[in-house]
Amino acid sequence: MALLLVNMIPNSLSGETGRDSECNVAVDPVRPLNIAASAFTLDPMLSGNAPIFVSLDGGRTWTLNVVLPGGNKTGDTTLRFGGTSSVLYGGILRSDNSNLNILRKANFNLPGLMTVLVDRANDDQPWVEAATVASGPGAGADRVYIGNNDFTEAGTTGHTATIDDSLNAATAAPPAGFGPVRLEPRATAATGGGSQDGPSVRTTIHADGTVYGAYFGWRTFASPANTSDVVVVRDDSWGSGANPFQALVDPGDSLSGLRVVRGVSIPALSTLLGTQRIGSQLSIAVDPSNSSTVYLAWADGTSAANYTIRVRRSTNRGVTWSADLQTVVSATNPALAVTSQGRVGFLYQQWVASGAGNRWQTHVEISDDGLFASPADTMLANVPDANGFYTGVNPIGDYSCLLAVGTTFYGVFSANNTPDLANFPNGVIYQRNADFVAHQLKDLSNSFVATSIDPFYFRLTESAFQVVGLTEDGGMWHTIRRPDGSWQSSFGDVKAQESNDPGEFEAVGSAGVNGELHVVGLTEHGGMWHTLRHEDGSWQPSFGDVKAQESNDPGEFKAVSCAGVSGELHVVGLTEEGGMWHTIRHPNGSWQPAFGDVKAQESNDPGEFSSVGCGGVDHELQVVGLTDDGGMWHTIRHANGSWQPFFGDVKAQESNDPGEFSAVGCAGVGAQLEVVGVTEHGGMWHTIRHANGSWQPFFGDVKAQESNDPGEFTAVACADAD
Amino acid sequence: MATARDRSALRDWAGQSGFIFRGTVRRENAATMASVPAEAGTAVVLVDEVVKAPQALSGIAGREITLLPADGSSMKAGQSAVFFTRSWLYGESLAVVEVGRLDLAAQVDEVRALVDEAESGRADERFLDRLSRAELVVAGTVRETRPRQPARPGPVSEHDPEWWEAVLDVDSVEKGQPPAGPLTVLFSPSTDEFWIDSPKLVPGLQGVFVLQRDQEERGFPALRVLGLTALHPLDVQPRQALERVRTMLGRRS
Repeated sequence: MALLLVNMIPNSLSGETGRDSECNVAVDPVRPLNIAASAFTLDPMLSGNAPIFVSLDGGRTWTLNVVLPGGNKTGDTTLRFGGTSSVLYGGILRSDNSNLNILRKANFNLPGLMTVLVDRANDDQPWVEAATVASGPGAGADRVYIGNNDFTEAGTTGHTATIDDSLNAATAAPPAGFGPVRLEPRATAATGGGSQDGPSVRTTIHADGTVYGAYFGWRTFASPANTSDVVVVRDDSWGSGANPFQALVDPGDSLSGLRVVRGVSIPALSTLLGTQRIGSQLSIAVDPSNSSTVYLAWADGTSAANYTIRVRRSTNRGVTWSADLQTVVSATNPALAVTSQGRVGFLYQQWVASGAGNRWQTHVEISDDGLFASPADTMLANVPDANGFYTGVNPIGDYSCLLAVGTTFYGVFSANNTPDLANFPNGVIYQRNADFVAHQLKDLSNSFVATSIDPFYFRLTESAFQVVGLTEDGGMWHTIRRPDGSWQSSFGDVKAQESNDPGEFEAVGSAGVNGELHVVGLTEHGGMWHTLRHEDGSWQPSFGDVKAQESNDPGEFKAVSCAGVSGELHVVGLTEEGGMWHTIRHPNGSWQPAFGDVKAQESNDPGEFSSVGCGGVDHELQVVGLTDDGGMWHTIRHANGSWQPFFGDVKAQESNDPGEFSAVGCAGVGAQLEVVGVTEHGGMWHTIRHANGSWQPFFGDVKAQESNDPGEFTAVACADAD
Repeated sequence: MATARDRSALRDWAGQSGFIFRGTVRRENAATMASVPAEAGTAVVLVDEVVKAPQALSGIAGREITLLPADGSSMKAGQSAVFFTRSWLYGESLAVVEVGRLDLAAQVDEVRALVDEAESGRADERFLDRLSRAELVVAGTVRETRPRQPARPGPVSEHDPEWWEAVLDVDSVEKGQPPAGPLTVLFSPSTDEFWIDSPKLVPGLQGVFVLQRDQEERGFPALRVLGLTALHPLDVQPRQALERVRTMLGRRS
């Protein structure tokens, strides 16, 4: 899957040094480019209200909109959009009086505070989920469920695990139908002045009206560990009946709520894992394609040392549960989500003790089979357990968040913000000013800013294979091969998507960058034009003239190649005179102000280039050019912007010489650059530049690997299909 | 020079504004941020000089931002003024909502002095409010700190203030009557979001302690305990603030 990872602090707050932890994210299901998120983020102007993060472009860029009441920043905050209403719902703990507020706002991007629907004291950790009834009774109504731990019950029943729900929350006057439903039927842990459940109460909603809930049913309270049941409840009709959330009955005591485990140890809430407190980590997610299948994750243990996240599954509506499908020791903040295809995502943050300094590693595992037999693990961040400007404990917060909308995963987590690509091994985009060479943050005046804790957003999208072809009449056409192997039913006319026509295209390059397809076309007169296809299928409305973005004009371009590197589009063009020029389109849409002369960076000149290919490898751009005499030359643009000081002769690295090359394609595959060259006689040859800089010792004859021979090849392109 | 009417308005505006700057209107009905609704009626303003801004916006001078004019007001390209604004959007640029405007671009130093004066006045008002609500104000030194005993009964939460108490050696009493025996003060050592900015008392800390009884201003009511507390950031002042405290309390050393 294709990863987009973004530091969410916007550029205008480049001087920010807060503890922006415990983040949450909401995606508008009908407009998934519209995303809201929250963290412990301050309104720097101290307006008396707090901001949410807003993105209107699928999470590539973020803006803070000050809409939360109750203090310059809020405590625990979660957000969700209605299923089709685009109404944003929130559950917050105000910082001015610590009250729970349930909130609503029709347009999350407009100014003005969210409407307070419920204001209540003594209530902890509100967690919002929402959906819209698609059909049947209540069609169109927003159903909203807010798990919380209501201490008003602590002194009486002790049944503090609660869901506040509304069956029609979008427009009704406060409290919009919200009211508490107590989940716990059993005796809870006596704490000296009452009794209670654990803080975390979570829900998950299926479109058929099935709503699951999960909570920690605390049974004994002690130090260093409490004992707890992990309990799942279910309602089969939106929680609308007389006895909501009582559909699951435990066979052991005939009470509502299935005890998935009984009496496990949970470390006391003051326990630290590294510098982060632990003791109440829980997540539940239903399969949107089958309401009988539901996944549960929680963490238990007797201490921080053996604190273990466990993932389990039920395929019969919560009646019985699997054994542990996955376990992660010394980890916290589990979050589960399931895509429309049944893929399961599991986000967690693992503390790793190291002699070189303790680390927080944030992982997202994707299991195609739901059994975590061989999940694909992506490390999103590997950062120091050091909190920079903020020196206290609890740097990352008590929860992270993972959602699935359609086939795409969306998530947020908090982490140390040191700008070091080694900390983000799969790449990252910073909006705030950051120097990744000096590993320093900078404010708007380019002065040093201390490191701190920032929220990070990520998105994992299905890797669809996209093709752009040019026709003899200079047209540009596009199609897609979907992950299931099917193809878009007809070629799309790219020019028809654009309001301008630069003329007949003669060469094209393309690359996927942050979930978008970037296309660079060269016209018959040597112009260079750019467009992009957004992840929602829309195109940039007009071709952009790349040359017009640059202060110099190297002349007429005849060949082009593109690659995505660390969230940027790199473009290498060859001029009619055989020059090689390079530019970059940054994530904010701006371009490098001038074409860079690649040859001027090198101490040798292999001659006039006639063909070029490039690929992104480990935050570097690698370029392979073919010269008029059929030579193959290679160079690298490093992450700090410098270039390898000379073109390397690829043929000189190989023990065989297939002849003169006439076309080349290459791609970064893992930490390697894979190169395929076509010779003037139509042969196809392959080599690899390894991560250590060495080359495969000989060109491999690709045709010799195949049982058939399509004839003489004249052009080639290649890509990493993962 | 600003008129008396200007000064009064300015103090009011300053109290509502988190960002005050001298600026020049560059474009009408325009914005520097794509997320600003087209119909918002904003203007693009160049920040010529910052009068007041939070640290997080360091370096904002010299940049264009988006300004939503106050209700009923208009802007013309080329117009220079001192703009009093509050927050709206922070993104690749900044969008702010106008609170007030002074067409005194050439007298920024005077405006800055008035803003500083207003800020100081507001700070005094906030501190005086704490003093007025205090049952006891003393100057002294923290002798020792320890977990409160007995532990608070009742709910357990990650937002627990984790009550500790500090024993103070009192040098002077500035307001109220200390209880007989050792003076103990409740505080929160917790770094939970609810309590992160509460004073963290440590042995040897010298200061002026502004103590409230049975606070009801933050934290879950179920987690509160009875006693003298120092929980607000203003409740513990450096020893050098003693003269200011005495002045505000109407006392002189």
